[in-house]
Amino acid sequence: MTDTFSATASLLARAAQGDQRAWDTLVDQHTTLLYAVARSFRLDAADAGDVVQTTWLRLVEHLDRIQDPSRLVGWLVTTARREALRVLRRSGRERPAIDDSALDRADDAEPVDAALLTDERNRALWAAYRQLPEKCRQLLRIAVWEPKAYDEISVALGMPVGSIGPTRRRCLTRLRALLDGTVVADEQDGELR
Amino acid sequence: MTAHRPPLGRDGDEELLARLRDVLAEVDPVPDHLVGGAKALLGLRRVDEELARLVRDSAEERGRLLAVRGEGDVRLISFETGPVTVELQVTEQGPTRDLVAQVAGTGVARAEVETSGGRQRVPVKDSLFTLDGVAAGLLRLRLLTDSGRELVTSWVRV
Repeated sequence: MTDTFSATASLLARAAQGDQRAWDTLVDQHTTLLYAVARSFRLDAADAGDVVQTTWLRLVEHLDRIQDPSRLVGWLVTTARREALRVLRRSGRERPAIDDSALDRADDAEPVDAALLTDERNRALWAAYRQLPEKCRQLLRIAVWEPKAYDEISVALGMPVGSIGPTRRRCLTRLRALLDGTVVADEQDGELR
Repeated sequence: MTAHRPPLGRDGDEELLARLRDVLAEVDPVPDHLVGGAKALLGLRRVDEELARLVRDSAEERGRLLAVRGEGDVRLISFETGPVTVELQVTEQGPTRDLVAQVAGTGVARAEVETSGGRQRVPVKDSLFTLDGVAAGLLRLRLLTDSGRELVTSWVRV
């Protein structure tokens, strides 16, 4: 953690002085997560790309103002979430009833092309994932990149941090249930439907 | 068959997440241009300019959700640095935007609207300036104050 802290602090400081390699490292480290956050708001690839770009622009503007480098990921995720909500609101896709949670949007921006997946088990996993409730897909989409970052996941989804662990567990249980015999035939879990 | 089963409990969760990560990376990869584009953004950083930060954006406010959307929607965006504030009013006109900007806390000697397409100088009268027909996308305002300070606002996507 201290290593991560000092590494991030150093990257930020160097990038603030115009060090392109330090900046490239930050971008390489976090773009995938930011894209996942944007996509978890059901934005299409183009809008999600805009959100990621705007988020990095904000960091360029704030490079020497990040007060706690250990919270950089949280800062980036917060910024990406805000930009994603802005896009949703501007395009009128967000309904008042669901407010910030954006958890139950009915339209489906998940890519359907599973033909890319040559591995049969991966195809089954993808098919199972697509059958998960919206909330689970949102959470897992982010959690795959930062499995332990409950604080950041909580920020991204606007959910209480205490609910992230239990929800994550429930979603994975559900995923296993959907996979049925293909992954674990003998899972015991009373919550399965 | 048995050998391929992940163990139950937390380890199994991590294993499942790791495999799902591989699947998501394959099915929904980050577009190639995105990483390169983000890396190029560092070149926009200018330490000699003072940033007027985005402090308020009506597009983020809850009340807006209830408004009926349509042609002529007005969005208000505020920027601040020290005593200087910039209020930007953005009116949607289909694919373009009409801008009205009002600066307070300083006199303005020169104003420019910068987009990804370049910069456009705009006449200023009484710290107010307007520009119609700006293409939707990223923009920021660049100001030279009466006292010779260079101010630039945060980028906003309009």
